[in-house]
This record gives sequence, C-alpha cells and structure tokens, in this order.
Amino acid sequence: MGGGLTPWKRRAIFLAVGFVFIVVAPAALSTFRLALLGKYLCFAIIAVGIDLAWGYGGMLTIGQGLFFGLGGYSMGMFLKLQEAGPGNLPDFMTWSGVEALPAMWKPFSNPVVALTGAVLIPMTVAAALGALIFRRRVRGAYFAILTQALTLAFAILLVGQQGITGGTNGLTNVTTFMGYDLNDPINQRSLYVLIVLCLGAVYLLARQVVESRYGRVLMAVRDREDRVRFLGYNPTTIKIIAFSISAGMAGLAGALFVPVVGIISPALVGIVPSIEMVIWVALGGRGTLIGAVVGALLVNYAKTTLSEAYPSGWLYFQGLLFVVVMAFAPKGVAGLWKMYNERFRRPKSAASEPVGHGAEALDVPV
Amino acid sequence: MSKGQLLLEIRNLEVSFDGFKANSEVDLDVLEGELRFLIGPNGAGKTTLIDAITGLVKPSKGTITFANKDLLQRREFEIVRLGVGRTFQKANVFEELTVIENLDLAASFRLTLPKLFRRRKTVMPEVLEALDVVGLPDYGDRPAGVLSHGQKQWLEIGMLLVQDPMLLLLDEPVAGMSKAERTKTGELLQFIAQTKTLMVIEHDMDFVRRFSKKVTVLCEGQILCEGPIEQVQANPMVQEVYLGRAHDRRSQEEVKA
Amino acid sequence: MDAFLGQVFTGLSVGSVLILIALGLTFTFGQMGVINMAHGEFIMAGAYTAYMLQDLMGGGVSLLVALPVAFFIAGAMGLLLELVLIRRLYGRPLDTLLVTWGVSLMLQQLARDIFGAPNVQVRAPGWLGGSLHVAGASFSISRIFIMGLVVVCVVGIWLFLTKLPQGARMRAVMQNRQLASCSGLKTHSIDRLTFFIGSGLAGIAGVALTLLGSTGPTLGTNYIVDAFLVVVVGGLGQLKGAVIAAIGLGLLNSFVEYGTSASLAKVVVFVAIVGFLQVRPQGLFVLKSRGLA
Repeated sequence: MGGGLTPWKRRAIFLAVGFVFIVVAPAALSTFRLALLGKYLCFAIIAVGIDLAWGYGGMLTIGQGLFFGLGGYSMGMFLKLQEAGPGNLPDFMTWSGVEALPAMWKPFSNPVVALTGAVLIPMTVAAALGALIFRRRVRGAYFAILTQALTLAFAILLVGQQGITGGTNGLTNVTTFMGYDLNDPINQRSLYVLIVLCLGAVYLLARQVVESRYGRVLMAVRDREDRVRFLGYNPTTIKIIAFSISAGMAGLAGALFVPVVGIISPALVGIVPSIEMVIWVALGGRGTLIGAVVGALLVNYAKTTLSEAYPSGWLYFQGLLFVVVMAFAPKGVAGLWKMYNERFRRPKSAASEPVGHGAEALDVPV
Repeated sequence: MSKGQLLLEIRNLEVSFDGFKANSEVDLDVLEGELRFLIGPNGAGKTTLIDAITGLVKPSKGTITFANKDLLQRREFEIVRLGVGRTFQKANVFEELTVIENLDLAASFRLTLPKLFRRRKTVMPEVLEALDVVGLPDYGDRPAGVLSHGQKQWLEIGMLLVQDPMLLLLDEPVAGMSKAERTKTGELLQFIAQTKTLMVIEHDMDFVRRFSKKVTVLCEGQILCEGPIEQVQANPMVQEVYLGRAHDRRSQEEVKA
Repeated sequence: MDAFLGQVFTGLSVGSVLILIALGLTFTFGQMGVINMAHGEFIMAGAYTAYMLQDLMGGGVSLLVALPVAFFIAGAMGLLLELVLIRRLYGRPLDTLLVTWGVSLMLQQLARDIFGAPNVQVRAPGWLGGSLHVAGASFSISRIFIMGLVVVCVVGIWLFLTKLPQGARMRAVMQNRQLASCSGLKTHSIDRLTFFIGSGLAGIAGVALTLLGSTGPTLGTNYIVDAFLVVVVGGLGQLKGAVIAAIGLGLLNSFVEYGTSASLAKVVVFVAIVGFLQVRPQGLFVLKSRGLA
C-alpha cells in the first residue's frame, strides 16, 4: 500500500503482485476461474478510474456504466462485424429484420477505429459533459444526479433501439477476437495476461497523475474549488481532465470485458451496475488507488460466491455493504488497514526492531 | 510598467445585490508602486469592491481596467493570470498540505499541462524566497494546519508572492493578529510595496496610521474621500461617518486617539 | 388538436405525480443536505399499501383509505431511516446517496420476498373508470383524480409552510440551519418532521401510481431519477420550483415521446436539462446569499 514505503520497495511489491497475476494465477486456476478473475480485473480498471474522479477529484460519477458501455459496445460491434464477415450483417440484425448495416456501425469494422474509439469515445463524451456542467459550477450531488440520469437515458436508448444495439439482449455470442477463437484456453490465457498488463498500465498512469503537481491541484479543487480559482487555475479544465481519464479507463475496461465474457448488454451498463462500481471503490478505500483495485476484486469475488449460494441473499448483503461501509467506515479497507497499522503495529515494531527500522515503520502508508 | 503609472482604473462602478447597492459611483485610480489602504465602517462595500475587481461578483455598471485590460469580461482565474492576486478575510490555506506544498501549488499555476503532470522533485527558488520573505523558513515541511492564525495569513501572502502578481489585494490581513504580529505584517507589506502595488482593506486605524501612505475612505458603497491619512482624519465628513455611528465604538475611539 | 390535448393531459398527470415525489426530495436535500435514494421505495411502499388494502377491503373505497394509510406508512419508514442512519450523515450528500441506495436495494429485495417478483395490479375502483370527453379528446377520470389529489397536497403543503408555525420553522432551518439552531429552534425535531412529511408524500404518490400501471419491487427506481432531475431544475428546497419543473418535465417528456420514441425521449430531455443549466445552473429559484459559497 504505497505511501510510506521507499520507491524501491514499492516497485518490488508492484512487480511481485504482477508476477503472481501473470505467472502464478494462470498456472493455478482453471480456465473458467481465470476468466472470472479476468473479468474482475476489468472491473478493477474501472475502479481505478472512479477513484481518480471521486477519491481524488471529488466527482462522484454514477456514469461509469455509460463509459464502460461505450467501450464495450465499440468492441462488441467490431467483433460482431468480424464474425459476420465482410458484407454480412451481425446475427441479431437479421433476426430483427434489419436489411442494411446501420451507418453508425460502419466505422467499427475497422479495428483501429473500434479499439481507439473504445477509449476515445468515452473520453470525448465525458469531456463534453464536463465542459458543459463544470463550467457552470454544477457539482457535488448535482453532478452525481446528472451522470446518473445520462446513464439511465443511455441504457433506455440501448434497449429501445433493438435493430442497432441488439436491445435488451445486447451483443451476445462473441466468440472470436482478431481472428483468434475465444473458446481456446490458450487464447483465453493470452487475453487474461493482456488484461493484467492493461490494469498495471492504468494503475501506473493513475499513480503518476495523483502524485504529479496536477494531482495536488486536483485534490485542492476537490477540497476548495473556489480557492483554487483564485490561484489562477481553471477548475473546469482540471476536473474535465480527471473525469475524462476516468471515462477512458472505463471504456478500456469495457473493450477488454467483451472478449472475456462474450457479451455486452444494457443490464451491464445501467444505473444499478454504475452505483455498484462506486461501492467497490468505497469498500476498498477511496483516494488510495490500490484500495479501488482491492475493493473491485473483493466485492466481485463475494458477489460470485454469494450469489451462487444464495441468490436473494446477495442483494441484502450488497445493500448492507453500502450502508455499513459508507456510514461506519467511509475510508474502506484502506482506512481500516491504516488504523490497524497505527494502533497495533507501530508500538510493536518500534519496540522490537532496531531504531532505524522503527522510525521507518512509523511512516504509515497514506 | 514603471512606478507612478496608472495600474488600476475604476470608473463609475456599481454593484447591486437584488437592488441593494453595495457599491455605486466608485471612481478609483491605483498607481504602480502604491501601498493603498481602503478603510470605512462595516458594510461600506470594501470587500465587495475587491470582489468586483477579482471577478467574484459581477458589477451592474461601470468599468474596471487593469494594465489597460478590461477586467469585467474575464473570469476569476483569468484575472489572476493577468497579475491580480487577492487574499480573503478568513485564511484559506490548504491545511493538509505542507507549507512548501501550498507555495508550490500557488507557484505552479503558469506551468503548461505537460509540465503539470510531472512530480515535484525539488523546491522552486521562488518558493524558497517567499518562505524567507514571509518569515516561515522553519515551517517549510510542516502541514499548514498547524500554523497559527497569523502565520496562515503570512503563508497566504507568500502564496501571492510566488505568483508574482503586479497588484495584490489584501482583505484585512492583520485582523485577529497580536500586536507583534501586526507590526511584522506591516513591515512585510512595506517590503513588498518596494516592488509591487498593494491595496489593503483595514479596520485597525492604528495600523493604518503607522503603515499607510494614501488612504481611500469608503462609506455606504461610495468613495467619501482620498488622501494621506492625516488629511483624511481631519476631513469633517470622515469624522461624521466614524463618530456619528454610535454602534461603531471601536472605530470611534480609534479616530479620536 | 385532440392529439395535442391528449399529450398535454398525459404530461400534466405524469408531471403531477413527479411533484409529489420531488417535494420530499427537494426538502430533505435543501434542508439537510441528504440525497435519499430510498425515497423511491417509499413510493413502492405506498403502492403496495394500496394493493394490500384492496385485498383486505375490496375495491371501491380502499383507494381512499389507502391514501392516508400510505402517507403514514411511508412517513414512518422515512422517520425510521432518518433516526437509524441518516442523522449521522447530515451535510454529506454523496455519502447519503450511497447509503440510501443500499437501503433501497434491501427494501426492493424485501418487497420481492414478500410480494413476489412479478408485478401486481391494483384495480381502479368503478367510480374512477371511464373517461371524460371534452373538445374531441378523452380524459381518463383516474388521471383527473390524480391531478386533483396533487393539487390538494400541494396546497396543503403550501398552507403548512406559510401559515403554520411548524412550517415557518422548517423554512427557517432550510434557509440558515446554524442561525435557526442558535435562535433556539430544535432543528433535529424539525428535520424529522420534514422527513416524515416528505416520505409520506412519496407514499401518496405510490397510491396514485397504482392507477397508472402495475406495481412491482422496482417501481420507485423508475421515478426516482426523474424526481431528482426535478430537484436540480427547480432549485433546492423550492416548492414553487419543484411544481414548475415537474410539470415542465412531464410535458416535455410526453411531447418528445410523441414526436420521436420513448427511448430517445430520455436523451432529449437530458440534453434539454443540461442546456437549461447553462442558463440557470442553480435551478429556477435560488436562495440567495453573499460570500464564497
């Protein structure tokens, strides 16, 4: 957990965790479990983005489902077109009686457009939305309400435009990725490794952002936007950048999610999943980045395990999770970890270890 | 710009809140290199005037020109970028950040975006200099939250200095300070005035007498008179304003004294 | 012309239900800084109350009985939520949003466990059946009843706020909590009253909604987002603002749906709201105050 460790120790931990995920996990887990883990790691990418916007920038976005969806549908459209082959229509269009490929789909037959679009389209939407509402100093709960409303509108649009979007079912049966068979375990493993690498890159990018001068300004805007304005910064720009990066991360996650899970549908991008994404970050501990990753993995693992065993119990549990975390431990696992370190580990390590190390142990992660 | 040239020009300014005129018919010139004090009873419109200059409130009439540029059409951060810095009555430092980080935050505002995305590895020379000037060299790595009230005000002034503005607008910088701190602040202001232009709102008449050169008196949103402090104090209208107000005992005694 | 009148009528009736829902939200948000996502489940509770009373008493008068009963049940739920959870979260709107969302998930699941996942139907009593034919357009009696009900509620709230001492206290706390507290007002009991009334109104809205469609565990979710948009457009804690914004949103939605399609309407309405915020970022009506907000 970053903060107080020396840069070398942090790098070593980062590489060790990377090693576990890239080498140990594929060897130890079944293909099915590995695909699940891959899905969780996609979610962790979203969580890092939310932490950037919410934890560091104070922008509670309930729109990450939208951005995840934009990325997912970009990738989904590309894969469906590839699967259908040139000149053919994706399967669901034939079923709903669409005869010509809708204009919106055409650019997505190009892999470059589809892949960059998966990241750039969400970033552009976020930047445009941010420009309009941050500039007018609409913020806080208003921002949350607006992102939520846009997400709802997007999900409803997806359901309503059956012929273009596949309606409620979404884009299903994605079986190949750039010509590789996604049912082949080897390809699934490669895809998994790609996801781990993307998460690593996203994490490092976010770390750089929050530890840079920009990160300080972002936190200053979160805490006292009006004051920062009188320091000569334009808070609108500062916030748009963080919001846009966070949207891009969600889009990337969506693009990686589709080949792993084989589906993207309105149920995955609406308000309900969008708020769930926020609780991952809240549970892990906002404003720490690593907490976001841990939270996404923990909650989703719990969801899979619990909803397999008790389908209705999960919803109670999830509801309780929101209540308990936000009302009683708003700093999440990271906050509890910090408290634990401060209360129990500090005196012990100071007493039992040589002075030099003890002093270092006092420097508790933030 | 050189000393003595017109830096800030306000003409026929009017600020109204739902019909209540906080400022009206204000004409004000501030010259390059001045240390100007702005005084007046509570509710005279002093803070509103500074708010109007810095873009926090939008005037309903009049013009504000700074270094030949119209300020009225600009937003707060653009006005800061033109070289107008301000402080607030309540110190507004970032308490969780260290003193150096606060100064660095203020100093970085002119960095281009790519540079802003780099980590801070060293302390900028202007930050070290400001730390010295405001008398906080021993507090550089302490969180700003542990500073005393007076020290926070000095840090605010330091944050202005690293931004290298042409004009500094200070809103009651010595309010709540001890006698010794006031003296130190006064000397700090005089030091800054050697290279910059300042306009200071102040209530403490004793402080104004000791450190001012030129004073502008505001009353009920309008400028009552302007000039050296002795001349202003002798002005019957000013005496009337201060003495005539039974509730403003403090100012009354100060004017008498 | 009759199509036009029909759209106006539909828009007005949907808008008037939105008023009832949004009033509670705008008061709790304006007064306590609380974003209550579980407000939607108070609507649901009201709707299920009507359903249960119908089973107990049969059609006819059960709907009229359901109105006050739903008010008290939903109000009591709101009071309980305030006492157990929300009072520790005042002034933390984003945190309350997430906490109450959790509550909302649990209440929805509870409804599913009690009433089953499929929607249930409340039969409109005979005297609300049929339509009124005016100027070539037909107006369903039940929608007219809903509008009348909302007018009664709004006038009641307005009288309460302006004529009764409790209402004056509520407005005082909304405008300046600290000052009200210093002036000796028991802000917490006023907050509880606000919560009770606001949640109760959602219960009434729930009963009204049973006349427009079927009732299910996610009934509230469908309306809560629109109701929050009403708060954003109307301005915090503004009765007048909520009424105008809700009617406006209802009409806009109804016309855009008619002109395009239901799925596009939400997007168009959202764009219109963002456009509106460019002109009035704080909503239609604002409590003005000076200083760095």
